[in-house]
Amino acid sequence: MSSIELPIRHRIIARPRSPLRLALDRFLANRLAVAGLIGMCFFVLACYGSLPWTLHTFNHQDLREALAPPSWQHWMGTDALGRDLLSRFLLGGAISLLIGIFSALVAVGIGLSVGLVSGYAGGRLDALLMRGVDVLYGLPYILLVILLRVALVDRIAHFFNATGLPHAQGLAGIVVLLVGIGGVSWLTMARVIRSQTMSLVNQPFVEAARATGAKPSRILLRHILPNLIGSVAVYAALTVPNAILAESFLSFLGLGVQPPVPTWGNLAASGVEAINPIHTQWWLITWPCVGLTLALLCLNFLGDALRDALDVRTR
Amino acid sequence: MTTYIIRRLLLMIPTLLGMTFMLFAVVRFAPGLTTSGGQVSGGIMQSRQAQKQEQQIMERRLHLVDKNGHPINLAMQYFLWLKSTCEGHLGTSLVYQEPVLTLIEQRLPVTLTINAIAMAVIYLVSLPGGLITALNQGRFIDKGYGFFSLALYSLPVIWLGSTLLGFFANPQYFNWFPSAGLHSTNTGNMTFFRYIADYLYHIVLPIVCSVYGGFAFLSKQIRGSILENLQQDYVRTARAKGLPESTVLVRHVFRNSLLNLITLTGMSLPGLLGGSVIIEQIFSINGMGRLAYTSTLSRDLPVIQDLALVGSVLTLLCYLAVDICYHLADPRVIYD
Amino acid sequence: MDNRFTLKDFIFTVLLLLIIGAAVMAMAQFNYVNKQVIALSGQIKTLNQQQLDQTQILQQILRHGLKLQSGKVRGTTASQKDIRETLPDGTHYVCYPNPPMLPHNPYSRPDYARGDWLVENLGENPHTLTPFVSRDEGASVVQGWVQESLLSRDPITLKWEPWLARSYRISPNGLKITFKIRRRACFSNGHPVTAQDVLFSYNTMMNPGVDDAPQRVYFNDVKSCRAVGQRTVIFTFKHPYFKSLEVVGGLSILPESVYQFKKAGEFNKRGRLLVGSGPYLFDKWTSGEIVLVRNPRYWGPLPTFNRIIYRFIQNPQAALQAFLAGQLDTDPPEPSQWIKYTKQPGFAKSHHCYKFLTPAAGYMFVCWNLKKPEFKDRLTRTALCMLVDRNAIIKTFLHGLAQPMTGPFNPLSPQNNPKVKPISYDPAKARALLQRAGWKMGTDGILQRNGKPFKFQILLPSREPLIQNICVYMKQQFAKAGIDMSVQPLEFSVMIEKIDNRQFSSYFLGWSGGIENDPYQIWDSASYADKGSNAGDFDNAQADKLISQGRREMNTAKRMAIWHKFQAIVYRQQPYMFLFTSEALMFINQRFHNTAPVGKYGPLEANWFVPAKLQKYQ
Repeated sequence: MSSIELPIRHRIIARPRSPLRLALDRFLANRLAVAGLIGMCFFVLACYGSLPWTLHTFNHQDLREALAPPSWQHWMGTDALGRDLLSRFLLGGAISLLIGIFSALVAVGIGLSVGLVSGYAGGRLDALLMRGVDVLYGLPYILLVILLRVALVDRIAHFFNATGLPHAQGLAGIVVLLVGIGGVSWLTMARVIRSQTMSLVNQPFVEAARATGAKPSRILLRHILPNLIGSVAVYAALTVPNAILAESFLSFLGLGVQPPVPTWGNLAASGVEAINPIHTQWWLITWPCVGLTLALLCLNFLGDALRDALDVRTR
Repeated sequence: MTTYIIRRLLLMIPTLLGMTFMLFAVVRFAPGLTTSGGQVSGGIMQSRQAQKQEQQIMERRLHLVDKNGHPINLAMQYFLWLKSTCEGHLGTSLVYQEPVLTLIEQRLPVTLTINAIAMAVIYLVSLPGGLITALNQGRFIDKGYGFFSLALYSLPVIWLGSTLLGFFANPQYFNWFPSAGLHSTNTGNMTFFRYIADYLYHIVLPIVCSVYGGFAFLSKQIRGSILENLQQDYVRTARAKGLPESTVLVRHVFRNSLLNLITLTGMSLPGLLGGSVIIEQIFSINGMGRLAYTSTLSRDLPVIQDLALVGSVLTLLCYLAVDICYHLADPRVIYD
Repeated sequence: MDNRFTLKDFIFTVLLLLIIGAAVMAMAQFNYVNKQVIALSGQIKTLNQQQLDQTQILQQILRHGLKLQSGKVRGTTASQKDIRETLPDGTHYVCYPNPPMLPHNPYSRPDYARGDWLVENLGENPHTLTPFVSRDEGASVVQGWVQESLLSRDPITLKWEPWLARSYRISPNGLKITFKIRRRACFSNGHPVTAQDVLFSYNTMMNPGVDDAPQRVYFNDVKSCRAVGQRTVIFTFKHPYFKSLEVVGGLSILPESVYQFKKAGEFNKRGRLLVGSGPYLFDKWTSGEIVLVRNPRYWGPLPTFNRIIYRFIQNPQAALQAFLAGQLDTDPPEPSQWIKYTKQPGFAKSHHCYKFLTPAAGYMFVCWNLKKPEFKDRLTRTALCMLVDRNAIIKTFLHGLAQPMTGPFNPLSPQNNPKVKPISYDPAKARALLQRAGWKMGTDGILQRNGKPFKFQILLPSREPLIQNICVYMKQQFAKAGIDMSVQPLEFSVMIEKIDNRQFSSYFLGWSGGIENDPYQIWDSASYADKGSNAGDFDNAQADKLISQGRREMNTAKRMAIWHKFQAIVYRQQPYMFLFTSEALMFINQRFHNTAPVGKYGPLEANWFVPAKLQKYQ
């Protein structure tokens, strides 16, 4: 089949380039990925750029204008309390993205360290850590999130209150949620990293490094970690949309970030009640859901393209 | 092989012990343990005159106190629970007053049917999808399929579920599907096949909701694994031998690619038992997801513990089964 | 040997699977037919039993010379007149020779016809149907059709009338109630209702092993229950208490022949056993519905519907759509749905739409912790009430489908004092009151008193959007006056734990209602200790005195006067911010007739019927 032969020939002709450069080229050649990147930049700019405005207006109520449809004054309409949906949408996006990114960071942090240690050390420690991962896989995820919330929100809120931050309650809810989501999504990461580390440990270059008397920490950081960057990046990119989705899922069940702090998830959850064919308040559900879908789409395109670009198999 | 299986089974014991210990610890330190929640709806409280008595009963039933009302220490509580579980007694729900096994029996069929059909549909679409996109790598159909399946994957189920419900089960738009439940009201005078058809008709929307997000991941996996196999030496050999392209694809590439699917499929089997809370919530289905969710909210400890236990035992067994199947399918893989 | 899995193998496997599948299907079909055979033989059995019953009745008629009047069996010997009187010695005596007919009953309507089914929605699947043990609303709805009690409440006068009992007699001091059971009352298995069954039901209720603690407390004042002969039951009480009659008269009577048990644990676990003397039999309970069928041996007037089916649809939008599609016959819409649909031309014409207040509805409130310095004084609490526009809350969040509360009693209940006027929304006056109470504006824009800023937290249950919205609104209202309220949604069980341990400043919840409530549980100062329901520590000597007076007063009119006084005191003190009680809303399928609300109870299903032409199910 010619379509399969072609890229191989092409590669032979092309002058050698670094793997990173190759990956970048492949990434940029993927038009969807570029679109995803641009979309994401747009979302981030809009949501975080408008923070100075939205932080002041998101909770401004005017009962006389409750449930007004979109107009020049309120571009996205207003909700049951007469709050401007646009500012809630933007702030909600900022918070949802924050939860997504930070949960992914938490997940990558834990998953990477557990996977590295487990894969490098092997033996007893490896068995112990992997059994631990198995154990955690078995625990019901919703239970964990609920219990974390119940146990932690108050204490964190107390701490925030002591430091004099505004909206301490809401902030505490966000922190707990991202810890909770990150805390349950590192498991797969740990497994992937472990198996890759195991295969890297036996490679000649690692053995060579060991022979020169390098410390384990140095081998891990200087020799093994750089080889894992690709999978970590792919995994992190795919965790972000999953975490955002998890947030909306928990919000639908009433376990997510609590009002009045908006997120796309809880805006959508409160909008679901408005799906009602006659005189429907469509704007309550449509905007947050469209925002959520587009953001997830952009992130998924990004992650997917990243995987394609870095994955040797599907080249 | 037998020794391998026995060793694996023995290894499961410490994992399960750790698992029970974690479960126990997590659940015992949850606040609001003996105040049974879930009795509230719309924020309206029932009379709480009897709460103290209630609490005492709960404490006795949870084995927090012995018959004389003396508190039992935590280690002993854990031991007692472990003992009764090892003897094969799953607990009795505090809320439903029925054995957990009965509860599972009532709810499992629905969840299992929906999940099994959904999985079948996902495989039926993704297998050819993955194959076609792999063979047409880089062409329009590959890109289009990739775009479309990812776009579906990005749609939140909350939105799609409620929209489907609001438009396709609504007499004011399209009254094509029932909006709730699993049966029509008068099933008494239906023939068996009619009854099955009625049942299938009722679970169409829930199945659509559990299916649409699943294509992206599986197709991608299959595509990748086919592309990988296409570059292998044996394909080149087969082609060089002059085998027809179709034989090369079906008998060599496709079948070798299916090997990778064993792991994927095996790992997803335990998931068949857990329902999606959201889909069950939207379509008013009484399945496993809701059982787990409501018992967590109402702190129905025996149910939470036993569901998690059953789930993890199944997961571990599935891992084992995956490894064995892998060995059977590909004798090159040897465990020791 | 070729060890490979070839296409042929594949085809064979598929064939094998198909054959196995077909075999399973065939077995299932056989099973199904078998089930139907069993059902049929069951029906034949009931038919035989019915024939037996009929012969028995005939024999009885011949023996006692009873005569049939307008389709109902009536004894000729007893006097026909209903008696409700207070004898000179103070004994209250009520005797109804025949069970009271429901007001507006349909039996004399020209188009009245028996038959058809009633399909309703129960929302959640009930946890258990065991009488006394079950706690959810749904279970009590189902039990209401299957089991009966000695007395029933008249929907218009709200007085207790004899039902399974033919008469009751309350001694002058209120310490002894004597019931005489109706001769013809019988359970669905043919056994007559006897004094022994009442005694059994009472003993079951009081059995400490039976898991019914919440209901058992109401019987704490009962000293003894005695059965005299076949038909007389005497309850005696430790103290006179205005609810005595309601407590023992409302006890569901279980047939001892069916429910007898050796260990209390047995009783708790029979969640699917439900037998009684009511108009319907419990037929089956599947994962999607509960089915009740007509009790062919019902001792009272034969009920209208062949079947009553309860389905479990939790999602209100799905329930409404099922109602519109004819899969449900009734639907209690949400306020927003009510507004949307009743506005639609034609909808109100093609469906029965009712909205009504019932005196049994509960109410929502905010409880202040009076132990906290900021809520100690009445002026501050009143000011907080003035800062919140309750009418706006009702208008915006409940679409006007609620009534403001002026105290702990439902506006329709006879307990309610209509002279108590609601405190009006008046932010300016509230500011003046706050100043009088010693609050001064601080530099940071927050009120201060004795150097402490007016900051507090309100607890509310999570997953309740209505409550959350109201709290967010209140937060803003308070903020305008310089009060900083932070909103803390909590999972319900955690919230209750905090309230029990008194770790709160204020909380938002609702109380479920009753037609005549005993204020002791919530308002007496003694209910603060020991995790009682008076969580905010309302402690008012005058109110305490009125409560204990009222509880002992057996005369209704005098007692109501006491409750009226009590309510005035509570509303003046403002230990709660009393918010509102919601109106009940109901959509009913057009094919049902005679559905208009009766008295204060709303539409009564027992009164409905479907004319023969319109019947939908067999």
